[in-house]
Amino acid sequence: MTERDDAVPTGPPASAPDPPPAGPPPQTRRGLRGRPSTRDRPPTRDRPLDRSAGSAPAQPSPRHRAGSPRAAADAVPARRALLLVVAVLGLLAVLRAPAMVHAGEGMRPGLTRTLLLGAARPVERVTHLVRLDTPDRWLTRAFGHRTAPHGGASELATAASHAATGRTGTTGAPAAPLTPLRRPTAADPLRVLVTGDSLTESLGPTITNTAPDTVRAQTETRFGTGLVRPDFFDWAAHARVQVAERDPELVIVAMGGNDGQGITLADGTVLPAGSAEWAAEYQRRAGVVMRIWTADGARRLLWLSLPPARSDRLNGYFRQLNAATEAAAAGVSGASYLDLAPWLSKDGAYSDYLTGADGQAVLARSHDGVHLALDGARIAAAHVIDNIRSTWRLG
Amino acid sequence: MIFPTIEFAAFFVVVMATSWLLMPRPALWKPFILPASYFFYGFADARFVLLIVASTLINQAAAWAIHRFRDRRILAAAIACDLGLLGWFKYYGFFALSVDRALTDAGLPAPLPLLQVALPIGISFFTFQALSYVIDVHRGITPPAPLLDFAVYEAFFPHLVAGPIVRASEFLPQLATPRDPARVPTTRAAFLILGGLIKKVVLADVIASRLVDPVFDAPGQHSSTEIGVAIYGYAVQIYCDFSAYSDIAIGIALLLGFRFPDNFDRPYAARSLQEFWRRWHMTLSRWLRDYVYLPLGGSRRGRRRTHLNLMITMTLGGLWHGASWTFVLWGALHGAALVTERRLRARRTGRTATARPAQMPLPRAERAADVPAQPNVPAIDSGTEASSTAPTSRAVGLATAPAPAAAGTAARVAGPVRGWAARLAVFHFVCATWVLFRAPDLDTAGRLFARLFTAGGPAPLVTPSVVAAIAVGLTTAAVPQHWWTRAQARFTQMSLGPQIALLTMAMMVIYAVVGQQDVAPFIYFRF
Repeated sequence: MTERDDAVPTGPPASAPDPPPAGPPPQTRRGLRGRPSTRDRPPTRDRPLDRSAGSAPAQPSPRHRAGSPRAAADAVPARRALLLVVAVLGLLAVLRAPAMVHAGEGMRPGLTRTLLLGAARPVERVTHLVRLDTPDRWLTRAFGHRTAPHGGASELATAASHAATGRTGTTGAPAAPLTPLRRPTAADPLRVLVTGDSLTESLGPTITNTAPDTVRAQTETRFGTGLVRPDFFDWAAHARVQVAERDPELVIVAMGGNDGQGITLADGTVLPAGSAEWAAEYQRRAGVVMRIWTADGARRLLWLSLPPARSDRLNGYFRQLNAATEAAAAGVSGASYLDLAPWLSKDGAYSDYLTGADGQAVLARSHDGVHLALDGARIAAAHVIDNIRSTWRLG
Repeated sequence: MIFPTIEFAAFFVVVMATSWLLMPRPALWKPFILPASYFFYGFADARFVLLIVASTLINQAAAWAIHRFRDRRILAAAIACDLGLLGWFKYYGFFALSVDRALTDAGLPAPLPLLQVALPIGISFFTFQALSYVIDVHRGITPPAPLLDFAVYEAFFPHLVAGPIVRASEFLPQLATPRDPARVPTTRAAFLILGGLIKKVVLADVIASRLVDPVFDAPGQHSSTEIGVAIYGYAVQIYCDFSAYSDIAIGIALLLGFRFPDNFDRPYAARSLQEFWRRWHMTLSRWLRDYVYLPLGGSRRGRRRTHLNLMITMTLGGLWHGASWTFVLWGALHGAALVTERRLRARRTGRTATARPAQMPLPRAERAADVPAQPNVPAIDSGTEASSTAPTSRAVGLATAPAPAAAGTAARVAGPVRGWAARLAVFHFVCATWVLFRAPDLDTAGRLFARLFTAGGPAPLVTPSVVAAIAVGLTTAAVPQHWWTRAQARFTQMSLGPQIALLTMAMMVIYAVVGQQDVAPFIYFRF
């Protein structure tokens, strides 16, 4: 046994690939049917394939090693392999049609989404009728997850619709008196929930890490969500769950990054993104969800502005969404709006790099031109915490 | 496009069917698989397809020029081009900001504009493959391939985004002849893909979302117990996440008739750090060995130079993972630990390291394989020039494959107790350094280590399900080999119907475990 001298990290010996062709390549023309004539194929060429076992032939891992008759038995014609793949994926598409629809609903508008939903929705309707979605629902419940009711309408859309038509509901309730603020202490800190879409991913933990010990902040991020697509994720229903389970005194919301898209109303009317009707509907929906979080003044809510986006088109939407949420917050007892643009922009315009607290340049934005990088989140968090300090008169 | 998505499933069904239909006609298959791979790559952002096309053309031109003129300057220019692309896209922002800060501190104006350069996904992987190609052509290991072959090699979609880093000498010969449509190793592919999904969706994502992310995001609000378990959890998460991607990539390639090298071999069972690096991200390790460490001189230029070479190689390996000081420190710590380990070993054996022939011990899997001996192939002696100029995959493989005596020094000298102590020590060192890998900055890493020993209190995040996921992730390394063999044999014996039913049921259970939650991106996508 010889100790290796080269202490550098080394992988195992690399594979020995197929030997170079010793003659003209075997021109099997059977394609998927497989079974080329063994006369056409030099035996040496087959050996590595037999030995490969899912990896390079000279370095099979314990799991994939073959080099035995069993390995040869494992090899099947391409047609059968394809049949297996197609059958499994096809069955999954049928048995998990609701999940397929859900995935499609979460996609950005475009050809992929249209094609997927165009195929998945009819499949879902049929599978629901003949109860083929039962096994998946049963499995989902068995693992402790909630199953979405089939075809249920979101409170977000219905309450906003009532508000639009002047009917009272969650949105139209008269402003209630604010619950007086208590004085949080280190022993009994202020319970803060930072929630929203992926904008909270870096911001929430940064608020948690930089807050004084009189504040205890938790973060719940729901990626790819917003207020325009309650069919994909229902923030109204989820806000009720959050309030019931977490009982926050202050809810900090950063949301809207995915909402630069049209809103489809319950009656099928589509409000194009950027239109005045779209902005008005967004304001109504924001009002609905704000009222759920604040319980009409029992809790406080701080809605953070969307930071400027690199894309001009998106930035235009963000300005409209900011105006809508600011207006919505003004009409909800306990809700307020914090405009972070002065600190997250250069003279109001998007900038990747900003000036940090120490006066040095910091990378404030992520590659996508929407999200905050860690240092950008620190800038935002500092002003959020200033707001909390002044509101709750924290030391 | 990422693997566990509906888009990829649809893409793969079409590609697999068309690929096998066209396979007997390489003149049609190659022009098909190349745009298919570009489609896969450009699905999220089509602009970057131009980058991979440019990389292909530049490196192919360089390879032919190197082959024809045998001029090192052409090689140097090609390497500079590749590293320049990588440096611009991956490191410019980090470099410019670091310079800006240093000069601002000194009261000087910053000379570099601060730009946010978009990071093309997979650039580290395809650049490394291209580098290995031109260097191997220069070394005479690989002849220049036809442009279409090289383009397919660089862009072949199963390995394009996050490896394994496949060498030209491993892949190009597979393009020389059509893959055999009569012998598709479906069982192995199915086990790899299914196992990968379990590791990713059931283990890695659960551990991440329920424990690791909350703790690493806000260490100040978590107790020592939570932090300690989260550190173990991250070790399991990153292994399950990355090895899952590799397994799925290897399985998908198998379904198309191609073989990739393995990328992991039970890394947490390693009894030395050296052994760990032969079991973790193996295709990167061997790349660094052959194209960084050995050209630097390996261990042939004395003890101090060897140590320096190790430090350089590992620090660069750290930087490869990301433009951040945490990765640099992570790599440097591994380098320093490898140096320390090497010195301890030399002291223990009472001989200087350079006095011994440098023969690589086989990975465990390799030893177990009944690879026929190659008595005519000499062991690689790191003291010879040949090892740095011709570290071919084949030469290395042949040199090491037959070494039955290299069954692990640790086992011989250690005995079971010492062996387990070594395993635990290596595992804990690796876990501790993973903190740097995961933490967003050095301050957070420092806070985690400080609170690891000082923060009492309850540990509500350490739930039975999280602990079970961590335990399962760790014990996958202990599953006896014959269990896998037997399971695969049983699956192979089944007829098509039960195979379909079993796989469908398994997939449904996997996705039911996570519920309606999106699969998180693979960790190694950002590298």
